[in-house]
Amino acid sequence: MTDEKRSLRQKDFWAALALMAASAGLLFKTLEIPFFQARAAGIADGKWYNSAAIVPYMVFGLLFVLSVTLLVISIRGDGLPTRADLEKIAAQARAPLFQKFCIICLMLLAYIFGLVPRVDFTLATALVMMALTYGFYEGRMRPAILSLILVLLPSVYAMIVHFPSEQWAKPHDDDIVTLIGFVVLVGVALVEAIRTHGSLPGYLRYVPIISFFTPLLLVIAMAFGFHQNVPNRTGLLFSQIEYHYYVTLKPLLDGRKD
Amino acid sequence: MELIASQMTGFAYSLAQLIIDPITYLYLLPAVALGIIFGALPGLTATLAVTILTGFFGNKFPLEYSLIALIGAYVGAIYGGSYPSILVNIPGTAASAATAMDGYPLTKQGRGGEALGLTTTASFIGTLIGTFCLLVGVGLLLMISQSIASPEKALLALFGILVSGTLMSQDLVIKGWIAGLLGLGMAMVGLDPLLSEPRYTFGWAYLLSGFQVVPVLMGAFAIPQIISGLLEGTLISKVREIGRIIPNWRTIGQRMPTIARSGALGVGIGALPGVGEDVAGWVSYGIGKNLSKEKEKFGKGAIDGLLSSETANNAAIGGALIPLLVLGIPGSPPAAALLGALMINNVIPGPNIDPNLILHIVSILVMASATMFLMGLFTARAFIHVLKIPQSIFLPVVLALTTIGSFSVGGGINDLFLMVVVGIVSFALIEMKYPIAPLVIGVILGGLFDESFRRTLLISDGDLSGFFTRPAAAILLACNVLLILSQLPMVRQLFRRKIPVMAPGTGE
Repeated sequence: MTDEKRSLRQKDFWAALALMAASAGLLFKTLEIPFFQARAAGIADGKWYNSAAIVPYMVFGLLFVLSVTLLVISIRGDGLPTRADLEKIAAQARAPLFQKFCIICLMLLAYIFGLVPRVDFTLATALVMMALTYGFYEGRMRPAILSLILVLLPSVYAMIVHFPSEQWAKPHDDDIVTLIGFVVLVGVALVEAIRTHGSLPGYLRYVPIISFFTPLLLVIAMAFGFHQNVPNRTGLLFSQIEYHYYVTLKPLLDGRKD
Repeated sequence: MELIASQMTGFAYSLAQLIIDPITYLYLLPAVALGIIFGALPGLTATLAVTILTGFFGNKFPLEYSLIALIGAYVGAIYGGSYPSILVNIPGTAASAATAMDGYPLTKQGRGGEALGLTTTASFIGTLIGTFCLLVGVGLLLMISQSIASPEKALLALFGILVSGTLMSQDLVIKGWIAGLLGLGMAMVGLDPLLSEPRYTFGWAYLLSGFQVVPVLMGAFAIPQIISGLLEGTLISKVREIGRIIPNWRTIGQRMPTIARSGALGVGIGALPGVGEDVAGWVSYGIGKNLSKEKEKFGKGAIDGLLSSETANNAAIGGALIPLLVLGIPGSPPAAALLGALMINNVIPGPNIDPNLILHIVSILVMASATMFLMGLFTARAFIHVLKIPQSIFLPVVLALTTIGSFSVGGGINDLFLMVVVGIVSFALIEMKYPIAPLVIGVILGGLFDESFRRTLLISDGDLSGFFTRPAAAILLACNVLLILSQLPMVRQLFRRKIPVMAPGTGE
């Protein structure tokens, strides 16, 4: 058996355990759905086949059985981890590839859970686009860590100061913190790249511009071209764009003179 | 014959309407170009192109026009995947992975332009074959589907998840089935379709309406690509000199049997629920190699190999739309995205679908394939420049597109939460060699399976005989059972013993 195959079986072992736990948990949760006392249009009905729990029992029951089968396959395929394997897993967790994966996941989570609901879409996306490009273009660890820090700071600030959903729309302090984060990230990227390479790498000349104008154009196209809902309409930039679209531009386009 | 004639008449009328409407071109040209760009950029797929456009168009545009853009992007992306496969040996989409086997050797021989000309023509013919089969197949199946009731629907949905899980697995088949079950499990979240009983909502009101298709699609297909692309680092493709891009009509004429066979295979595989273009390309390539008199040339620049995969993956588009339109079961992941777009616009595909909509879709396919053909021949060099854009530049742009697209579809910020969680879990599954298509098919077909399975039981007072006393249901049940049995190790060993393995080339 090749090392790759064995490594796959080891992953299968852990995945099987996770799946078994998840399916058992969901089977337990299914007990909350009435089975022998199914309700139809508010009327109690004792017929099992009328219950909303039948298919979930089948699905999660089968998932549990297949997880056990996967566990058996993985053990037969030499996937049961030994003490040395566990040490290897710990070493892999310290490997740059895994750390980069964690950095990307943290950035995505900070972006979606922290920034997008609370901060102007253009500013939040510009920061994250800049961070992802600068952080991973050259494959070095330092830019990735710097980018992560500068994404996490505004995101954590926004979440701490404006956690409840009623505070997502206003005020704009988190927008300004994010804007500062973007400017600082661009500055840090330029200085760090020049110090490392001796001159400015070509991609850094246009990445800040792409990072800022892509979400800006997207949000304008989406809101006024495709007439779709966009995140955080009261954000620092978008509220101004929307105001001037309806108050300045639209009357002009409609031919009104007032 | 009467059916074919009436379908043809309706199609000709619909096509003429589409051709004379100038708005058509406003949607079609940018969509096909965008599709080719998405296909050409490694890591971006046809599914992603269709899903992102679904988010953009939502239900704010007339469906007739949205469909032009969505199908145009679908056709363009499947074709566009051949560019990096042929020119830099990196498949742009999984559907064009087999194309790289012979396409890149041709480029190394300085025949990249010829290879592109041939794949453009083969993709065009393939799409037309698929379109013709869609036109005829849908008509025939619609007549049959009138007799399809709840037991058949439940078994068909199950068959779709099982086939997808079986054929898309790269490692163990059981992983495909687990992925399908995970999708089915996700579909159980929300109010149940018959009694409105809340299931697995954990007190969160958003979950009452269940998992939405578009964020799940975006999460399952876009986020893993973004993560893996960024981890790979910057890939800048160096494109070799390719020469003139011209369709070699003589070669095409000589290879018509290969093209016709690959087209038929593509349609057949595309029509299998949840399988689609990826498998079609590989199966057609494998069969083309087995039937070829010049097997030794495959992998070294065989024209037959190139045409086999490219014709089949484009023909699979028409095939994938057959079960989608007639039964509401997508034949491929991009067709699943298309189903999402139809559902957002309150169009429920199935036996009661408007026949005019089918004719409209067929006409769009013809227009899209013609546009793709012309763009492929005359503007290919512009698309080749796209290959030089590094991943770490375009993947963050894709993140912005998916975020705003997913947000706009309806669920707002909660859809984004769902998207990112599904995306990270999907990445982990892909790393462990679980196929993602069955998961998505499971989410889409889960509701149909749940509803029709329980409706069958309800009608028959809990009697399970409805699943095997009706002829069509019995056939489908047999298909499901045989499919599962065929994957059991004991059964496989038994068959291996009974059927001696033929030594290649010996004819024994």
